[in-house]
Formats: sequence, C-alpha cells, structure tokens
Amino acid sequence: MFQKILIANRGEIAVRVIRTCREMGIKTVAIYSDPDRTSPHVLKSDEAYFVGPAPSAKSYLNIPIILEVLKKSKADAVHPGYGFLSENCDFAQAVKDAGATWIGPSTEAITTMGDKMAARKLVIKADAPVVPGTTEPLVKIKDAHKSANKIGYPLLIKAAGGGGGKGMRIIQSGKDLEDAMSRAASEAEKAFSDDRIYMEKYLVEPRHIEIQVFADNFGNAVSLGERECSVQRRYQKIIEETPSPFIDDNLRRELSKTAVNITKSCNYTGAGTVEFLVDKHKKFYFLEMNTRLQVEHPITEMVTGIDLVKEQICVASGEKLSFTKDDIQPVGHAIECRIYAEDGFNNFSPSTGILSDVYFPSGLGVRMDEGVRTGQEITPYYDPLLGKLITWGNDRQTALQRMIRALGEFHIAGIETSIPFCLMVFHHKTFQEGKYSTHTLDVIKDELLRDLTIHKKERILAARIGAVQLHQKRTPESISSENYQITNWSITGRKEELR
Amino acid sequence: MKFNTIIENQSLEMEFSDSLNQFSIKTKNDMEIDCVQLSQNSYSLILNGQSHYLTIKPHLQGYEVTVDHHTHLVYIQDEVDILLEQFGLQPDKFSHAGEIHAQIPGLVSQIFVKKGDKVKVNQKLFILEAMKMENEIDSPVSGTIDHIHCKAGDKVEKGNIIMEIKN
Repeated sequence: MFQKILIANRGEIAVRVIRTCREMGIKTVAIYSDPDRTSPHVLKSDEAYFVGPAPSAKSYLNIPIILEVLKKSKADAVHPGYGFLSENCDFAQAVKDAGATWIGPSTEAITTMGDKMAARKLVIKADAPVVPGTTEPLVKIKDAHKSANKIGYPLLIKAAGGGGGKGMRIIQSGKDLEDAMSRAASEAEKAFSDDRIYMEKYLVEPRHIEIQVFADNFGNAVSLGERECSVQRRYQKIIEETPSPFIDDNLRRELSKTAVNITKSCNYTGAGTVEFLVDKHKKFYFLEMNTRLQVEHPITEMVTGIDLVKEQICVASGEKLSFTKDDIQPVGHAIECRIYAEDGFNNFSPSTGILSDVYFPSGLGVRMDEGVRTGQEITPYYDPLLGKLITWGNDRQTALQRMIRALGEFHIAGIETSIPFCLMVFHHKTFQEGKYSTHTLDVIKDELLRDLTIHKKERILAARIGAVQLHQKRTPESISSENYQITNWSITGRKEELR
Repeated sequence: MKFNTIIENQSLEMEFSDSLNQFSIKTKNDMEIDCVQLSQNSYSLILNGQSHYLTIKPHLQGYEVTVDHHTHLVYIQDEVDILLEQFGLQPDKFSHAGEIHAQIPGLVSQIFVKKGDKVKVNQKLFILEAMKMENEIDSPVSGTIDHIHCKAGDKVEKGNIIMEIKN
C-alpha cells in the first residue's frame, strides 16, 4: 500500500480524498495556488506545496511544477480528483514516468474516452446506442449546416475535449449556428486547450442517468448502480439522487449491463462513470464516459456503503476489487445538492467575495463534503463549487425531507449561493413526484422566481432592523454603556421576562 | 432616533426611541423585537416570535445583511440625511440607472458597442468571463453609450463601472 499520496486538486474533492487517506493511514500532500494558501485542503493535509499564481494554467494545471512537488515530497501515488488534470493523459503518463502510481485508469482509456468523438466511435463498435450526431469535428460552417439539416433541429454543439457544460450550446435554428459554433469553440479552447467541437441531436425531455462502474487489473468490472442527474442548469448538474425515480429494475439492469460492456471494451481500471440519456420512451443512448471520480459519487457511497476513494486507492495499488456484483445491494435513498457560489435567481451568475459567516448543517443522515471555511475568499479563478450536501434516508421521502431540513440549517454570508434556489426546487411538485427531465429547471424557473417573494417581506424587514442595529452601534452617541453583546433591542425581550 | 432604511430602492422609516427602548415602524407599532449579537458579524433576531439568524457587515455606504439564505444591501439615512434630502441638498446617491457595473470580478473579453452607439434594452454589450464561463451582459436600459471605462482584455473588480448609458 502507498505511504504518501499527492492530491493534484483543490477544494472539496481534495478534502474528500484527504479524509479517506487519513482513515487508511496514508500521508497526504496538497498543492496550492496563491489564493488557496489558507483553503481547507491545505489546512487539512499533512504536507502542502505552493505551485503558482491564481490562474489554473499556472498552478493546478502546471504539470512541470506539480511533478517537482511529486519528487520533492516523495509521494508514491497521485490522486487527480476531478476536473483539472484528472483526464489529462500526458500528466498521467508523466506521473508513471516519474515512478509514482497514477490513481486512475490507463492513459489509453483516458485518451479514448476523453476524446468524446473517439468514445462515440468505440461505443458504436461495442454495439451500444449513441445519440445521433457527427463523428468528425465541425470546421466549416457550410458543412455544419449540412450536418445540422441532416440531424434536425434543435441540436447541441459540444466540445470534443471535455464535458461539464463548457463549450456547449443549444441551437434552435440555422441562424444561430455560426455564432454558437465560434462561442463554443473559444470556450472549449479555454477550458480544455482543444477547440474541436461536434454536433449531437438534442433529445426532447431526456433524463441524464449514469452508471458508476469499477474495474480492477484482474478483469473484474462491476456496476454500482445508477445516479439520476437530470436536474441541471447550463447543462451542469446541480441535484443528483439514487436510485432514479424514473427507471425500473429492467432498465436498470440493461443500463448496468451496457455500462459494464463499455468498461470492458476499453480495458478500464478504477472508478468510472458511464453517462446515458434516457428519453421519455425509456430508450437510452450513450452520452460519454468519465474516466475519474465524479462530483456526485457520494450518493453511491451512501447507498452501497462503499468508500469509492478507498477502492480507487486499493485498485491502483494492485489489489482486487473488494466486492463482486452480488455484493452490491443498495440500501435506502440518497440525494446530493451541490452548493455553488452562484445566484440561482440571477441566471446562476457566479458570486465572489469573502465568506464572512458559514454554518454547515449536520444531524442524522446528513453528510457535508465541504471545500471552504469561514473567512475564505471565493475568487473567480476556479469552479464555483463550495461543497456538497448529501442526505440519506430509508426511502426517497425521508431523504428528501432531510435535504430540505438540512438546507434550511445552512447559513452562508458574504456571497450568493445556489441554496435558496435548490430549496425551492426540492419543494416543487416536479421534484417531489420525481417527474423531472433535464429541461425541467428552465421550465419551472419563472415559477420559482415568483415564489421567491412569499417570505420576502419578513426577510426584508429583518434585514432593515439588522442594519439599523449595526448602524446604531457604530454611531458614537448611541453606544450604550451595556456590554457590547447586549443590544438595546434585547431589552424589549427582557422586559417581557420581568412581567 | 429616526432612520430611513432603503432596500432595492424601497424606503421605510423606522423610529427608535432610547427612553422607551422601543422600535416602531410608521404603520406598524406593535412589533416585538429582540436582537442579540452572537459574534462579531452575527446576530439572532426574534421578530414577532420568528427566529432569524443574521450576518451583518458594513458594505460600501450601507450594510450587507444575510438572512434566510438571501443577502440584502441596506442603506441607512439618519435624521440629518433625511432633513438634507427634504431640502433637496443631497443628490440621490443610491440610484445609478445607466451605469453598468461588473457584478462579478472577471475579464472583459469582448465589447460589442462603442461610444456614441444607440442601444436597446437587452442588447448585448460585452462578455464578462469569470469562473471559466462566458457571461453575456445585456443592456438594462435603452440609450446612447456615453462612456466606456475599459477595453477588451481588461480585468475588472466587482463593482467597477464598465460603461455608462445616457437616455
């Protein structure tokens, strides 16, 4: 087993990996950029090394410097987390060349699956269904129009180099094609250093359902069940749950079987996720395979009881999978809500600033995977994910009620977050009844915005009173002789007690 | 002491009486308020029996108050400010229609308009790149571009004026 693992990442996923390493008695090495000197992943790790200034390209994506840290720290393995270099085969290869172990699949698997277009070709060969689309990159606008007309509108422009909604555009008609192509290509170039884009049919009311797979070096490949990820904004997931309220056991088995086949077809090892789109007739299509740990992996952990990071580490160190197909008997229901530094009611625009006050929820069935702390500054340099709230219950209703309870307990001051928006989504009947698709958020957005005003009056009054409270305190003549902790307004309450 | 509190351009006058330790709002006199400081920036407010947790910080000329998952910017005018405004001596410092500010720090990657251009509501003005996303910023008003304070490629901080639009 490894003695020391370098975590080439930041934020909540770095903290998540550190936690498992600690439990396994493995020392951890963190890396940090300028603004992350005091971020939780640095504070919680055993060792931490500076890798560069704020922009990712100069720090968390800076392969030569990270390799230097690997050498200096004498770590014997590298966990890449998700995002950043997690699907970069040059980095994976460089880690191996440096004599350390890459905690992830082979560079061949990363290359094939990381290239969304190569993946489509491989999956077609493996006889799994794919969404109709182009198999060659879009270059000329004339050819693009031709393909578009063949596939039919609406359609999606996607980046070949990666996912996460970056470089993705939905197009309703031919007149938007050129503008969308150039915007998508420039976003893709920035996010993945790869401006290749392709085209795919945009399915109506699809569900985004993915299968967690795990494979070892001994030919074992197992499905750990599905995750329902249809609640999305800007093509990015925000709420996930397992099991999916939409699919039955037959479809579940079918998806698992297909996912395991795809996994085997590329000689995959470690944790992977096969994503599918399922249309309203329950027909499914391969979307892509993510060759790393997913953001939403905790819901699978909650229902299977398997620590996926631990399993990744064990498989990478040459052990066999600790479970077989028959061991996977999911229990109960788990829901994840991503906590983003984004204003859900203002087009999810990113919010930055200092987290002046943070209170995390806890209690029965509540798991918080956090990457921030009170006093930390949220900068525009990185992904706006602050952390993830996961709740578990015996059944969906319990997990859902628990989620609403836990989100209510949350308090984050200093920036806008996606919490109030998500709370309203959980209250909405489409989620309560489990009848949502990837388009649902767009459909119910305005309704949620209207509902936002329900408690507004009381909230605004509280804000006014609070502000006057501080204003009073700051005006010299009004500073009372009482202890600063006791305010004038508490006297009203105290008078009540004297009655 | 009288205070005028302004949130989202809505004013509410509140009166705080030192001698009675009471707090009244124009139309609503019977409010029970109990506000206790918890730590430097946090307060517990029990308002008519409803319990709220507040974080309050000075921000620009006002206060940023976070309550029930929402943050409100509150401006306060005291008696002197109110008097001055009544006499028309104080410019309205809380309204800046036509000034386009950066809502988030980021990079102005493209500008679609130039000085003197006539723009309509929702016409795209520029692209503000932040957190790896390209955010298209549209005009909130119709008018003429009076001034552009930055050029494509400039980094901007939250609150920076990017352009001014005149009616």
